[in-house]
Amino acid sequence: MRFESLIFQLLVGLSTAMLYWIVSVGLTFTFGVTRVLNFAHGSFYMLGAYFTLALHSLTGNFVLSVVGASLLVGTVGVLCERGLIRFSYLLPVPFQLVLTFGLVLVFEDVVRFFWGTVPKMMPSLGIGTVKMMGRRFPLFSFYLIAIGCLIGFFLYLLINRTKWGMMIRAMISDYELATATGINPEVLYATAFFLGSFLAGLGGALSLPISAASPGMGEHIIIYSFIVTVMGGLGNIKGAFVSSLIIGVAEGIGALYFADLTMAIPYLVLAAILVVKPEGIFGEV
Amino acid sequence: MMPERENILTVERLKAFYGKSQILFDVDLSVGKGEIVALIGRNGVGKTTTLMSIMGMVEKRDCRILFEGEDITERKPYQIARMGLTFIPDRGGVFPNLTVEENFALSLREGYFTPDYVFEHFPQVRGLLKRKGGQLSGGERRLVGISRGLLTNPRLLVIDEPSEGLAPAIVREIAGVLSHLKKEGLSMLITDQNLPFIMALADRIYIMDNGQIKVSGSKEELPREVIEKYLAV
Repeated sequence: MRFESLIFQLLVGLSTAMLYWIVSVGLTFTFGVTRVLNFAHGSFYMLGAYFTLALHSLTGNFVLSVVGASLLVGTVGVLCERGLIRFSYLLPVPFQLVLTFGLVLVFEDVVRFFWGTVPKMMPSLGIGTVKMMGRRFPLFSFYLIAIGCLIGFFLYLLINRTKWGMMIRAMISDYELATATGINPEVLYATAFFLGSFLAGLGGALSLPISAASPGMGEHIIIYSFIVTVMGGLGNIKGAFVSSLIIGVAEGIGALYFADLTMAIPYLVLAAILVVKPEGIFGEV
Repeated sequence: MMPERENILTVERLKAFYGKSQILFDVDLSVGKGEIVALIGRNGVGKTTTLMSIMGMVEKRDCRILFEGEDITERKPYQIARMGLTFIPDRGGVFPNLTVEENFALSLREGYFTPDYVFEHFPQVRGLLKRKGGQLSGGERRLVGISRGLLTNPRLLVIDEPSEGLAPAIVREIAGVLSHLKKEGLSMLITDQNLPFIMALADRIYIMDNGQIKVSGSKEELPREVIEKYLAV
C-alpha cells in the first residue's frame, strides 16, 4: 500500500500547493510592483472566505459566491491601497510593516464582530470524490489543481501579452523611465493591488471546502505566503509557483514519513534552500 | 541679445532640492523651437538634476517652468511626458527587461515619427526588435532609446549625456542621428561633456557649475577657453 499512499499524499500536497500558490502569487506580485510587503494579504484571504460564506448563504451558488467574494476583496484591497498604503511607499519599510500589520488587527476584529470567533464551516457542496487505487479522493482537490494551473496561465498572458502587463514590467524595471514614458504609476499600483487582493480573496474562498473559516486563518496563510515568496525570490512569480509546489508536496509527502515534523517541514525546506540560494530560487525581481 | 524667437521651454529661477540640501540655484534657461540647446559642465554640477526637475521628478520650489506656454511646474512626470516632453535618461532610455519591440509598443504615440520612419532612417534597429533592452550594447541602447523617444512623437526631446561611455565612431553616429532630427525640426535639450560632440550639434550652450548657470550663449559667441575651463576636471 506504500506506493498508493505516496500518490495519494502527492495529490493532497499538490492541491494544498495550489492554494499556497494562488495566495502567495498575489503577495509576491503586489510586492514586486509596489515594494510593500503587505501583512494584510492574509486578512484578504480571510475576508475572501467570510465573504464567500455570506454570499453563499444569500445565493446558494458556490461559484458565483467565490467570484463575487474575490471581486469584493479586490475592491477592499484597492481601498486600503488608495486610502492608506500608498502614503507609505516612500517611507522606510518598518512603517509599511506597522501599517499593514495594523490592518491585520482591524480586519480580524471586523470578522470577529460580524461572524464571531467560532470557526464557520461551509455547508457541503456535494462535489464528491473519485475512486483511485481503492481509495476515495476528493474531487475538489483536482478542481483546485486545475484552477491553480489556469491562474498561472492567465497571469502569464496578463503579464506578458497585454499592454497593462507591459506597463507593469516597464515600471518594475525602470520606474523613472516609465513615468517619463507617460505611464501613470498610481493607476498601476491600484490595479496591481486589486489583482493581488483578488487572488488572496480567491484563495480564501477556495479554502472553504477544505477547512473552516476562522478569524486566525489569515495569520496561518500569511506565514506560508512569506515562506513561498522568500523561497522563490521576492516579487518572482515563477518562483512563487515552484516554491508553492515544493512546500505543498513536501508537506504532503512529509506527513507520510515524518508525521511528527509536519509543522516544521516548510521552515526546514525554506532554511535548506536559503542556505544554497540566499536570494531565493529564482532571485528577487 | 539673441533675436526673439518662440520658446518651447522656459525655465525660470529653478531651485531644486534633494531632501534638505539644495542642488540647483536659480537656474534660468530656455529652448527655442527647432533649437538644440546643450547644458554642459562636469559630473555632479547639476545637469541631470536640471533635466529631472523639468520632468517633475525632483522637488523644486519658488520657480516656474513653461512648456509651450503652459505652466508645468506642478505637473507630475507622466503628465509632463504625455504633453510631448520626452526624457531619455543617461542609462539609455530603454526598459531592460522588455524587448525592443515592447519598448516601442509602450512608447508609440500617433504622429510623424512611426516605426517605419525609424526602420528607414536607422535600419540597424530592425534587427534588434526581438532582443531585450538589457542585452543591447551601449551604442545600440542609445540608438534604441532615441528611437523609442521619437516614437512618442515628442515636441521636445530631453537627452541626458547621449555620448557618455560610447566609442568615438558610435558618438559620431549618434551625432549624425541627432543632427538629422534637428533637420526634421525637432527641438532638443541635451547635456553632455564631450566638447566636439556639443560643438557639432548645439545652437546654444549653457555652462553649469555648482548648481548654477555660469555662462551661456550661442556656440559662436562663447570663447572656447571659457568652455574648456568649465569642462576641465
